[in-house]
Amino acid sequence: MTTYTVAELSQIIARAVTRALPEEIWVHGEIRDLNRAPSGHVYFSLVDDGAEVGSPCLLPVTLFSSDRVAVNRLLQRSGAVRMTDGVAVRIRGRVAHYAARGTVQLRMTWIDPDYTLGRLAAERERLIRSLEQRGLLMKNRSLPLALVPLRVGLITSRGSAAEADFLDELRRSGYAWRIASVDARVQGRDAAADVITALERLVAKGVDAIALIRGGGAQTDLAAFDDEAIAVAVALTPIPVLTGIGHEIDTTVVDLVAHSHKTPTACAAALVGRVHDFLQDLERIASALERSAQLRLETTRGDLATATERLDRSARAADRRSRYTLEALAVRTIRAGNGLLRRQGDLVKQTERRMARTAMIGLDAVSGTLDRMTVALEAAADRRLVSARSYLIELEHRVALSDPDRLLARGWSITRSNDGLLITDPRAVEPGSRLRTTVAGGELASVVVEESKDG
Amino acid sequence: MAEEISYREALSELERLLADLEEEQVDVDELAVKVRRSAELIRLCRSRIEAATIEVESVVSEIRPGEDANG
Repeated sequence: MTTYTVAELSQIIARAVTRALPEEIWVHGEIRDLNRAPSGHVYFSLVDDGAEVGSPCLLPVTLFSSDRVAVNRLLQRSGAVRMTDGVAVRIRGRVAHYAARGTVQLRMTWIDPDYTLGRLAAERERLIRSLEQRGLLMKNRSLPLALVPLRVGLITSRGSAAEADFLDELRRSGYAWRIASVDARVQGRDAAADVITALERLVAKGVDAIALIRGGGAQTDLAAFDDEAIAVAVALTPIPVLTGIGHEIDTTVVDLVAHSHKTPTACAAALVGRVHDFLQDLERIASALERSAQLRLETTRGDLATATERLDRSARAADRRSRYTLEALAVRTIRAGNGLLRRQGDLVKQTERRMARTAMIGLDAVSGTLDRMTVALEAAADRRLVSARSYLIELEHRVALSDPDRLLARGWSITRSNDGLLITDPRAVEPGSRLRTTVAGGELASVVVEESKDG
Repeated sequence: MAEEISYREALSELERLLADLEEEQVDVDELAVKVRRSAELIRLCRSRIEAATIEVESVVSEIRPGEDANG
C-alpha cells in the first residue's frame, strides 16, 4: 500500500476535483457565517439540510474581491437581494481544492438574484398559507385599535432614521404621547428573538398599541419580517401591532398579520389620525349636542309660545263669552229699561193726551165766559178805582191830622226829659228835673217845680 | 371619579347624552345638566389628549445591545 505525502495527496484530490467538475457549476443553498474580510474578500458557507443524504451539508465559499465587484453590481441592479446569513442563493463558480486548508471550496464568480427572490416569494407563500390555516392571519389585525392610543410601545433599532421619523411625526401632532421604547435588532437571524422579547415586554407593561418599525432596505434585509416566529408572535400579541416596515413597495409577512402601514412615518400618522378622529368625534358630538340643546330650547320655547297663545286664545274666548253674557245682560237690561221707559212714556203720553183733552174741553168752556169776565173785570176795576181814590183822600186827611208841625202850629208842644224821653206822665219827673219843650217856634228849657196831679 | 373615565366611556356617555337630547325625552332642567356634563367630558378628553408633550421612556430589556442592525 502506497504512502503519500500531504502534498502528493493534495495534488491528487485537486486533480480529481478538477476532473470531476472541470467547468463552472451552479449550486444553491443558504448562506451561513458570512464574513466580509478587510481584504475585500467575502467568505461564507453554503448549507442545506442534506435531506437527500440524510445529514446537514456545508460547502465553504470564497468570493474574491476581484469577482465581488461584478457580483455586487448585479445585486444592486436587482435591488432586492443582499447577501447575508439565512438568505437562500443560487451561485456560480468553480470548485477547487484549497491545499493550504485542505478543503474543497467553491470560488464564487456569479449569482442568480431571481432564484433568491423566487425562493423568498415561495417561502412567503407557504408561510402565509400556514398562518391562514392556523387562523393567525387576521388574529392581531382584527383587534380594534384603542380610541385614543396615546400609550405607544415602540420596537425599533434605537437611533435609527426610522425611529426619528416615527417620533417626529408623533411630536408634530402636539398630542400627549407616552412612548415605551424597546431597542431591538430588526435585521438578521437575531431579529426574531429580539422582536419577540420586545413584544412580550410591552404586553406586560401595558400599552394601547405597539409600533414595530424599521427603515427600508433590500428585500432580503426585510427577510426577518417574513420569519415565521415573528409573524406568529405578532399574530398572538393581544395588543394591536402596527407595522411600518421598509418603503412603500415592501410587504412582509409580519405586515400581513399586523395593522400594516407602509413606512414608519405612515405608522405614526395612523396613530395620530386615530387620536385626531376621536377629537373630531368629540367636536361632532359637541356641536350636535349644542344643536340639539338649542333645538330642545327652541322647541320648549315654541311649546311655551303655543301654550301661551292657546291660553291667550281661550282667555279671549272666555272673555268673549263673558262679554257676550254681559252684552246679553245689558241688552236685556236695556230692553227691560226701554220697556219700562216705554211704559212710562206711554203713561206720560196718555196723561198728556188726557190733559190736553181736558184742557181743550176747559178752554172751549172757558173761552166763551172770558169775554164776559173781561167786561166784568173792567167794571170792577172802575169801581175799585173810584173807591181807591176816595180812600186816598181820606188817608191824606188823616195824615194831615197827625202832622206834629200842624199840631205845634195850633199851640201843642212836646216835652222831653233831659235824656230825650217823651214825657207823657207828670209822675215820670221829679221836682228839680230839667225838661226840654218843643214848640212851633223852637225849644224851651225848664225845671220842674211841682207836680200837678191833674195835668 | 370623572378623572378616571376612559376615552371609550367618555365617548359612549357623550353619544348617550346626544341620543337622549335627540329623542326629545329631556326636559329643560335636565337639558342644562346634560349639556354641562357633556361640556365637562369633552373638556376632560381634550385636555388629556392635547397636553402637547411627548414622553419617551426606554424599556430596559435583557436584549443584548445589537450590533449595527439597520441596513
